[in-house]
Amino acid sequence: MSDISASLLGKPTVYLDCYNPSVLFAIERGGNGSTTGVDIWHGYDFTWLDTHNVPQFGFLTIYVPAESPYLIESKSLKLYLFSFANSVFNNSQQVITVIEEDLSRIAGSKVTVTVGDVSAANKNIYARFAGEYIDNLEVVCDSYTVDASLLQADPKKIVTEELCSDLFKSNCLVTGKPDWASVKISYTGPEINRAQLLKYLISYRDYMRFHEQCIEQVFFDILHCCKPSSLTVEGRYNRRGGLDINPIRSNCEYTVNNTRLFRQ
Amino acid sequence: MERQSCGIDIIRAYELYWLNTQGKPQIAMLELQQEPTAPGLDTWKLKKFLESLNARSFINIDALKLELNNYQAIAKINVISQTNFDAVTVFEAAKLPAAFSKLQTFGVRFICPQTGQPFIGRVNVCLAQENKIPDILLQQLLTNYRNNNFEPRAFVDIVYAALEKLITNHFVLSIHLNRRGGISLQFIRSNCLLALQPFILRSVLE
Repeated sequence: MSDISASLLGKPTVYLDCYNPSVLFAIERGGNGSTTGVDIWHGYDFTWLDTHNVPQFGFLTIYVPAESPYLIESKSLKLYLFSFANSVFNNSQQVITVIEEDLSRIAGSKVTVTVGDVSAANKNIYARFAGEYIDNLEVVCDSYTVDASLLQADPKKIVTEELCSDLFKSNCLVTGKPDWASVKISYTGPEINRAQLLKYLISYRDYMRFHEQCIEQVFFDILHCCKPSSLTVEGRYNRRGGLDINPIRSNCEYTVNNTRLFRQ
Repeated sequence: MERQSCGIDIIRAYELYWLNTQGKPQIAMLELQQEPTAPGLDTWKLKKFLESLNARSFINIDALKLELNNYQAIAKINVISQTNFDAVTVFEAAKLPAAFSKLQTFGVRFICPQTGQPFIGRVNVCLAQENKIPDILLQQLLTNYRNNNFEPRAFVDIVYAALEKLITNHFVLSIHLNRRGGISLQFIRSNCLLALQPFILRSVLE
């Protein structure tokens, strides 16, 4: 189930004519330690047929718990969702039930799905995270190798703040193609040096991991190096194959404000 | 208003990235506008060109714009810098000009002839308030094309021609195709001369 070389990533694509859950591919999540969180996926290209063969279009939201033993490989999810296009379902509730069952089986945990009316999506587009952006800081970036030692915090000064950046980039583990994201770090604890934080985030530029793994690593690096008492890291990636992935990791109770950012 | 036709094609690239002279990433969004009769931009090549900028350094955004103009001179270029990432008003929620305030919106799907990948998007038809074409007619039209191969402009031409037969009054057609490779497309066509700027908006899922 988990050998990534057996996945469809980086291989020629065959688009399926009808519903086919067998294309779904799971990857062992692995991980740096215990954390709570969720991976929120949005599907922008989702369509199926109703019982009169009339096309239906919906805005898909998928919640995969961070504790699930498996990730869902994104290209397989794209092809799986595309396979609904010429398949008939009684109603959107049936669609939801089918997707929840299929994805829960693959992820090894309960996955929750909503299929919203397309018009519902237009209320959730915001320009930016709520929080302070650190992107204007003047930094010299001469290394694009992930380096947690860049992180610095002042234990004499305890703060509560939200720091954000639109400059996060990593690369697909298999294809090496670039993946771009905005990141928000909400914490209470020793004040994190912002310039160093920005350099640390930019150091992911050549890093090759899946979205979820990158955000999780950011979370654990900050936790270990800066020792906040509470920490939530949220990543909002640009879409690939009609899907965007938004991993959130936290060591405390957090509220998911599932906004959609300017580039999403 | 005169009964002539007008239109514009908009190409939106959401992943424009480069480095400043200190190696720090810079980000922006790109919007290209071109006449419907101008040669269509190859979006695959555009994507590759934009990717090639990722690791390049520019002294400022004007230098980047010069590079973009050197790449292609057909389309009008608008670079939306990070500081101008504002809240988005999408087409389907926008206040449109009064003469076209009635909006009918439909999902659409057809197939790319080169790759076999589906194009997914929205067809938005804007009419005067008192006019409405039966939803079922337009729905049937779009359903018929669901699994057919089209180049995007050819699809736009077919839908526009069909609407010209269905609608006797003035209308604006805006077809939005969701992103592929970080690039989305909007095609605006109208059977009258009018200012198109109020219609140049992203669609809700574009």
